[in-house]
Amino acid sequence: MLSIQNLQKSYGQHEVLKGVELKIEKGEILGFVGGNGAGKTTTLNCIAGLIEQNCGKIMINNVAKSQSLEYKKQFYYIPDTIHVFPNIAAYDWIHYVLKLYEKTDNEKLQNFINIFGMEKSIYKPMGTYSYGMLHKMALITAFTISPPILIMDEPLNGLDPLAVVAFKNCMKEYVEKGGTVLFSTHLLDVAEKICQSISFLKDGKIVLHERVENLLVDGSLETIFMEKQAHEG
Amino acid sequence: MKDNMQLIKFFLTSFYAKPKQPVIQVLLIIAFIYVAIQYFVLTLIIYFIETPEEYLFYNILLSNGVTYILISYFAISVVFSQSDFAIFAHLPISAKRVVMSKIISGVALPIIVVSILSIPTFFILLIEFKLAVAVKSIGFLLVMNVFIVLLLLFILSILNHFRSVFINTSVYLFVRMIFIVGIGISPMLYFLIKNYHAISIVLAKLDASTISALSASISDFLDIGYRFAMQQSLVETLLSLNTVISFILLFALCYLLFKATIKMIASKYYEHGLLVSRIEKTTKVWGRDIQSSLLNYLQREYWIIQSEPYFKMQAILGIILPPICTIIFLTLIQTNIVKAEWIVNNESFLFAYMVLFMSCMNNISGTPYSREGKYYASSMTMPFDPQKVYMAKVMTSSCIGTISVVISYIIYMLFGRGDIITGLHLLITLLLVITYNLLSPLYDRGHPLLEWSNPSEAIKSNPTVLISMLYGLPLLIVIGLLHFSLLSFNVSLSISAAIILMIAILCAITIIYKIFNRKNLECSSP
Repeated sequence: MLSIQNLQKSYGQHEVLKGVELKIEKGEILGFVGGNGAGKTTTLNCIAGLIEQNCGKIMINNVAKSQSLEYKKQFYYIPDTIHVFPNIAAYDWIHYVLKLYEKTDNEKLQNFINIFGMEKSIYKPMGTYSYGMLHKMALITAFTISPPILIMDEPLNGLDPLAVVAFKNCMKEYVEKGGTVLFSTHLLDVAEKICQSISFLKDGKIVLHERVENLLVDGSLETIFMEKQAHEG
Repeated sequence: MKDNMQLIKFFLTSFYAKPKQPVIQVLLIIAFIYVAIQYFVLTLIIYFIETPEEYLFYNILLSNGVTYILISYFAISVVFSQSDFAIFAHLPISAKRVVMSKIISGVALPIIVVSILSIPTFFILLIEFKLAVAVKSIGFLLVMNVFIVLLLLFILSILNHFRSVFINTSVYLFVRMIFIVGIGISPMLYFLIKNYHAISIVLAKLDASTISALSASISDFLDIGYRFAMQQSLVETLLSLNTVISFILLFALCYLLFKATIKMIASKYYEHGLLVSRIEKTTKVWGRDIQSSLLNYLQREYWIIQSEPYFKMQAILGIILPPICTIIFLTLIQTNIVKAEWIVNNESFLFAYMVLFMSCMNNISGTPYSREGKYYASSMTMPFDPQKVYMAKVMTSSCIGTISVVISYIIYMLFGRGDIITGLHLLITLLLVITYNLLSPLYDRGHPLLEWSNPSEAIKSNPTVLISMLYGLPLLIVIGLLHFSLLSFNVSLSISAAIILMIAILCAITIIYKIFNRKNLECSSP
């Protein structure tokens, strides 16, 4: 589904990614874990086309990364900071994005609006939204589109408890229907519960890529994370 | 097409958002009505002193000029901005579609505004010509406006194509500004050079003793322009063509320019958007070991200006604009192009007022709080002294103003001018610039425009600039009028300069005292 080979990215002299290698199979939920500044967001931005890598190959569904519409229709990306047109109602924007993905299922959209409790606020301008509301709006868009792969950078940040539960349920349903998820998170307990695989990123390299059930034999994700951070550091 | 319309609407509401405060909404309407009346009066004056053909010619010229200014001021920065890259880069939408929507939404409003301003012209044309001719003329005027906009955008899209060649964005923005000004003034310069002799005769004969004499002088000047334009081969060719053919030709040219501009910008949309992530920059920190709290506040101001290349460009522009105008002004005087007696006799005052107005007319001093954008929250939540924040902002804009004023006066002296009175004028100018800089941030302090995505919104599209000018400029105008009144009562040059200097000092002290006193009262009130 998604394969990354030897992904390298540097900002001037500062090397952020030093050859990231990653593979995600169809129907898999992969949690991308790592300390601050490890390179998680850079990797996700590279996949989404917001950053150009210096070296490496990215493929989604056998479509190589490019600025083509074919590549971009393979995924929907939710960045950590969501940029919007402040004076536009979220409903209008979602409708517009759905058309770009050629998915105009109003019933499905309304269903997700109800699930995330945005019935009233969906018609308000996005400039008035809180951080959490923007994430809810992006999640509604993502699940309505249901692209082959969902890429999310800290999707749980700012969400209220009800929305977190809604997110987990929607993601489960999405994966059951054949969807694939790659998301970064610092919430290891959540990753432990919903991910099938975990990738640890440290100093721009994947230091561990394993299925969750295999990892949990040695203890909790938190313990493994602490060990990895201390050991490598 | 429907999807494109929706995208155009998104951009349009983003570029030209309606101000939230009702006061500013009303003020903008008043400003528009004021400009419309001025435009109408100007066209009416031309109508009464010129023939219908010349009236039509100058109306097209005026309309083109206003369109050019509005497009340069409002649309260019948004059309070439990359701020939407983060919204669209990961979505399945073609760069051409985004660019096309950006161009249409960027230029639509200025063109609509100019079209509304041209409505009275249509009715005046109806008085002189038949309906068909009036409709044709107004149609030609509007198509010419669109053509000029597209031509400008096309030229700038070529420059934009080579954006990555420039060492940094500020340099690119600065070169773009020079291009815009250069393209705008080149036809005027061409006209001036070609008609240098005739213009200098008209200027020398300029008689403002009676209204009829003044209108005759203006008419003479306008005649030169009209005759010159009609002699140009391009105009002659256009006029010799059949109306339908000339319209088809103009439409075809507009279409080609539109398509070429879209292609040029879209071809580099991703490359330029990705440029931002190519380098990691750290802004300099100075005076780390100096224990001065005001220096920390100034450091913060420096960081804010450094945060956006557009702000840096505005600061550079604020410094270099008065010296450039000084060189042009002095060259005109030195080469005897301007022979009018009143200009030659009052050269030193005209120079002083030109420098003063040019130093105050920048957008730096009126928008210091809006410029902060997302950083504004930190100044509210962290233990910053609001008074010191304000003073740091005044000092920053005054510093820019002072540098530009001093450089201008040095150039003035290098041109072989300058005496004790020039020294007094320099002092007066500096004091008035500081006074203006003390006044202009006051409205922005209370009503900053912080939710901007494109830095040009914080400066150019910010209504607080207009408001700060409304209460700042009268101070300069009153002092200017007072000065000329003193001179007309035959008060000697040095005494009138000394009186104005005293008034300027008084103004500066009063405003500083008022601002500090008000702040103290605010602090002491429970």
